[in-house]
Amino acid sequence: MPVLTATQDSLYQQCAAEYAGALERLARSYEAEPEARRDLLQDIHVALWRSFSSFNGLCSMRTWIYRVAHNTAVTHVLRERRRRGQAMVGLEEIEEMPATAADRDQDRQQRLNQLLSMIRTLKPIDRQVILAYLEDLEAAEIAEITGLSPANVATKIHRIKNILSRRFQAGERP
Amino acid sequence: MNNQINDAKKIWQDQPLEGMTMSLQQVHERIDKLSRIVRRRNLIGGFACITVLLGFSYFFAALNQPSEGMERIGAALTAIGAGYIMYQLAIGKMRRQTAIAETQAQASMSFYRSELQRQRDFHQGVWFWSRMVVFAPGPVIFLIGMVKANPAFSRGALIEGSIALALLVWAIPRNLSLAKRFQQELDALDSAGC
Repeated sequence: MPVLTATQDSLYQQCAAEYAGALERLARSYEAEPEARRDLLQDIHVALWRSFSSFNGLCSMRTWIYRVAHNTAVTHVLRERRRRGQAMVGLEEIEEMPATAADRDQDRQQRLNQLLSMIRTLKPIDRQVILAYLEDLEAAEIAEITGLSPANVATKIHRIKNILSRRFQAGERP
Repeated sequence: MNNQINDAKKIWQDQPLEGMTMSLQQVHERIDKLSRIVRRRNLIGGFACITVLLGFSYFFAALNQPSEGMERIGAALTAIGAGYIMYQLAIGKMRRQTAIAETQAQASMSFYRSELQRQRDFHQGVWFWSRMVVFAPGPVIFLIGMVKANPAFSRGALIEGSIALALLVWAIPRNLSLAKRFQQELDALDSAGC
């Protein structure tokens, strides 16, 4: 049953206050260009506000927010890819690429930039899994958001752990 | 290994942000702005279709000499084509709005699938071919009829016909290749068991 506008507004306000950072990080991982990124983030906020008119409580608020945000971003990615002709790869392909010395010998900002640029090359579903993982979501919740089977999510998380441990080694440089 | 992963998570979660969020008022303003853009786009598309529809309907009514029969057929087909495109645009708009409302909070995998299918069908499905079939023959028949009835127009008609043909030759393979790319992604999802 659709919710009242007042409830829709308050759900949106709650979501904007609680998930602003996560939504901004999500937008960063889907769009590198600052102006387009701000547009995407605004589209995500609008999509969330609209979506709350049909929020039915069958899944958690967090699952709902991540689904709507990712789905809005996926539409953006598909549209932009047609325009820019970007190629995307899967986690398997990234896992097979060898890590170089330069990958390991980086400061914090360089590691973040490298992480962002790697995420931006991923296919949408893989991108979604790694983002949810980096946001500390549990595997069961990632499966609920994506619609992938728990086994499939577990395999992807295993690959993500391999990639992160090889390419983003901790504490070598502050 | 765990330290490295935790560090990557920490780098990710602690990254400097612009702190951008939107108030309710800004959301409503954005919705109004988007609605205005969509309305303007629909008006331009609708106006172009109505212009073609009225223009070729006029040709259909005005060209009533026996030698102008072919031009009349071409004019009628073009007017019908423009009407059909208008109908498709209106239907597509309604379907799209319903689809967005229904699928926005779907599990991402099925949303992604439906987006890929929608994009594929836009480039090769009934919608694409109906535009080609309904709209392309009308102007061609009209041009041929015009040249037959008025040989003095043959040069201009040849140029217009060549441009239209070149556009068709470019558009069809381009759309089919885009559709193929979307289908390949759907196949990849199937083979990965997603």
